[in-house]
Amino acid sequence: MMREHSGLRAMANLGVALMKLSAVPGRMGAWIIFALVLVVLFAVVGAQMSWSQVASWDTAIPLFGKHLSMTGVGELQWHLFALVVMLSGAYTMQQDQHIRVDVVSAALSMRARAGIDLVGDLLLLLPFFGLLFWFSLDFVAMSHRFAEQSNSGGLVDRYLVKSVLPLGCALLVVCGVGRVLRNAAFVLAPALQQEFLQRAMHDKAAAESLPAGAAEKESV
Amino acid sequence: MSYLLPSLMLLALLVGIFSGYPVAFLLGGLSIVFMFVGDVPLASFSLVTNRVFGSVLENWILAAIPLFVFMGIMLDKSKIADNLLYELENLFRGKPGGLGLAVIGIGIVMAASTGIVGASVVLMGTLALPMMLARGYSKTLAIGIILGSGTLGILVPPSIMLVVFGDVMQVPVGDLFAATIIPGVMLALFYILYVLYHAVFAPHKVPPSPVSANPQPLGRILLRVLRDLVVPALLMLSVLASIVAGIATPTEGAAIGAGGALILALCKRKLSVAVLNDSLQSTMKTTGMILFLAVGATAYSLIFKRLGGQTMIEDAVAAFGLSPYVVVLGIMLLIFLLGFFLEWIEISFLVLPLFAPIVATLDFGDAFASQTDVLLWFSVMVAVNLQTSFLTPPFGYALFYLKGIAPPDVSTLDIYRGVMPIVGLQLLAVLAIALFPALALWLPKFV
Amino acid sequence: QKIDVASTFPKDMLFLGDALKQFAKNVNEVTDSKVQFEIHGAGDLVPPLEVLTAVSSGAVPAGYDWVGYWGGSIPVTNLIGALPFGPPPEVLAEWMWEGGGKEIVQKAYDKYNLQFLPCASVPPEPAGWFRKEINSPEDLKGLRMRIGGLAGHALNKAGATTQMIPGGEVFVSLDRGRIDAAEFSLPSIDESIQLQKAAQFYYFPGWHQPSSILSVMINKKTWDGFSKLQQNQIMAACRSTMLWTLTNGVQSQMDAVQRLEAQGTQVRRLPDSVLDVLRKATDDVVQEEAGKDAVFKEAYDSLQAHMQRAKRWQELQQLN
Ligand code: NA
Ligand code: NA
Repeated sequence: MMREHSGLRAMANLGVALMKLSAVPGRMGAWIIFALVLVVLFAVVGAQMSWSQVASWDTAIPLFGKHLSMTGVGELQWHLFALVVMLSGAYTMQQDQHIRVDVVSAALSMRARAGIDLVGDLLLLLPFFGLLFWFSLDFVAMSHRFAEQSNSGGLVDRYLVKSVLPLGCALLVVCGVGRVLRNAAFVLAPALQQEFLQRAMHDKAAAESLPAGAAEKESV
Repeated sequence: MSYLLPSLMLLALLVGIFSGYPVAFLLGGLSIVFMFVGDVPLASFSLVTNRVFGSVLENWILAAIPLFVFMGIMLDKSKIADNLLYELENLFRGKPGGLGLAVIGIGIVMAASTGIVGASVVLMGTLALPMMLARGYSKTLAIGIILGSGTLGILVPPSIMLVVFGDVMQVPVGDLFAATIIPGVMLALFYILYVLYHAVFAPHKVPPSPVSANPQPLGRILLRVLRDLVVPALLMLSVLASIVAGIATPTEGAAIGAGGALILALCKRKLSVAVLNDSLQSTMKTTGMILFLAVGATAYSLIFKRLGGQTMIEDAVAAFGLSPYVVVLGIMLLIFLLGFFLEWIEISFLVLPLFAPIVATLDFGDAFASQTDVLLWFSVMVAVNLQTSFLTPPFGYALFYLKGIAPPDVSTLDIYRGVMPIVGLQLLAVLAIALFPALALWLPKFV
Repeated sequence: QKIDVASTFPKDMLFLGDALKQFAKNVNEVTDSKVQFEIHGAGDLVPPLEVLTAVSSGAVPAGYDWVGYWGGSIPVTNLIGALPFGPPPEVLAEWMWEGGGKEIVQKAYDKYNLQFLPCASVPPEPAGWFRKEINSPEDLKGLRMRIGGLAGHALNKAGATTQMIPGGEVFVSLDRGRIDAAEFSLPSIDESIQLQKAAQFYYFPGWHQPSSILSVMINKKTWDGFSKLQQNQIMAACRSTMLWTLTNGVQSQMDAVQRLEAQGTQVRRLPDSVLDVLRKATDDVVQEEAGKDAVFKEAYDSLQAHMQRAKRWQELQQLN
């Protein structure tokens, strides 16, 4: 069995690797949530103290310009939030945690479910995030061209926060291509899907990249 | 405009959802498919970019979501509820139904702190269910009260669902928090009465816990209960009070809660870099799960509207619209039915925005002081309705959780049987709020 | 020809929404229904603050706004959206249509591929709702106020802390004391969100915004697609809408103020000492802005000269 499907196995391995790669920024980026907590707490204290300006300096730096006001701290909150959201997409996908209604599909075979994901990724996910990526490039470029900034004395370089949009879409496209490669191999060689599933059971880390329904659900 | 395309788009969504493909990507993808089908110019798609940025990423209200999720996970890690169950059972020793009341008590504590349904149901399913079964409790009753009180957290504040409602319905989140407190207490009372009813009329279903040989003095038990309650209670009160009182935005309140939960975990020696990393990654995944649904939904609804979907729904409601009460009843029924298959997240981001403009213009005459009151009242009923969606088979998350961790002799059928009376109580609560809007609207007036 | 126009206001909003309906009606009439604008309320197509980008990229052919929303992208819009201690509405309107204002602002809009149509004027708004009295400049120190734009900068210089709070949360924030003061809109609109229940003192004059422009922006491609006749018709409809707003805003505001007073609102006037401090701070802010953006400077100089002439004329015409 190990000798069979060597081409397909390579394809599936490449797919899994791409998915993992796309999840790295989200996995690391989880710590941005910790930073978000601290920034918001700082804003709470600042509001109580009626602070207005936090700091100023001589050389303009990206995003902050030459000073940080409480308005800027307030804007920093949703800047961080935007980053968290767009990084989380591919990570959540690699971990198969995006919501599925598998009440009917649970009865299908693993191969059929891999097939549904394959078709869905090709017809829905890749076109959507591909187009969103494409259109958001213009969106960022425009913001950059006109040096868009806060109108309340907050942060500058608004194009920076806008760039998280194409960034997150690109990660999802990479993850999507990875899953397409992996699932295509699975559909063509169901034995391979079994093999990957077993490998995943041994390897807890890999358990996070299983097809529909195999990973433990987590919800709120 | 013809109803054909929007109807097809709804049908495609329905079929797609049951295929088991991730709903967020389905919504986004369908927006493109129907853009081509409906001959909408491709340039319109750049509006999706504007919408994703403007109504999701730049949305300071939604920024409360990761913080509330993180707070809930941290509080769960600090194990505040675990000891409490044994102490509360001690308190009610020798009384029929006592353990049941203790379980509901824990449910309320968890509801007011984490608000993460999974965590509450799992905790009570692993700790309380085996205990109740060992004491000879009726299986269905034990299951019912765990599911009821375990899902209360999504309804009562702090609740990320209410944060989303605030954004979708355009009502202050603090008012929503205040408005759901009385209905939440009412539901807890319903569960309590459900247990007490059995204690009186069918005591064999809720047998008393045995009194130990050398019972501890009541005072000492009470003291310990207080000790375990006071710190989390203070934390929760400060979070809620600051939001409801408007001193903090929901985002700020959530950050205060997250900071407090971190300190609590630190004091209880449950905090390490590994635990923190783990909690942050869980938060990240939950954030992705919720907010990408918002991303998909905003794309879908743009194209749906462009194809005349909003008009179609408004026409349909107008065709039914005998009285505004009938409209609200119809929407409630629809949400209840959708709740069998969908989660609060899909319903909140996709279904609610379609009905919000309709509800906003319903004319109830003098029955409500303002249109904001109408929206608040409506939102609270939807909230109870969506708590129920966790409980309705075939797709109720709470049922899955419980099945996942219950002892092997608890069958799926047992769980279905146990949850039925609770679903009945939930519907009773919706009815009560419908008939007596003051249940929702009274408290927000006084904060 | 139906042109979608994405509004930054709810479709049925008092005055602010009505002005767009008036414009659409005028266009329909003067073009004999050859050009029609279809209004989409705030958020229907795009979130309000995304309207500029959406029209500029051509995703929506037209938009309608309070121009001050774009101050972070087009600095000159701060000037015509809310110039503290600026001109009264009729002077701003005159400068805009006959004093070269429209042409100067258009230079900034050209870069965004947009045709700028200044179609509505907003009467001066009150200075805002305050939970405490303002008796001297000292009372501004540490004051937490919801206000943005140039006035926000000026208040910061005067020692206040300004915060941008979204419209939907203004009432709660003020009512519960998270902020001490809030500037929102015209009295009739303030009344509709019940700000009188959140704060007791209603201060005048609206130093931060003595006049303000609402505009229709049209993507250049759409604009160039109109015949010369149609362009002139739309311009005429726009100018006529401006007159409609100039002759429609005030009466209903005084009715609203009277209703508010009947409910216990205390209408006050900011002391001259406070206005002096704010005027000084505004001068500094405007100088800084003029140093950063050429179009802003050109517009400001032109508007100043125009205001000077208007002032002299008014003095000459003074009857008592
Ligand atoms: Na909760
Ligand atoms: Na359900």
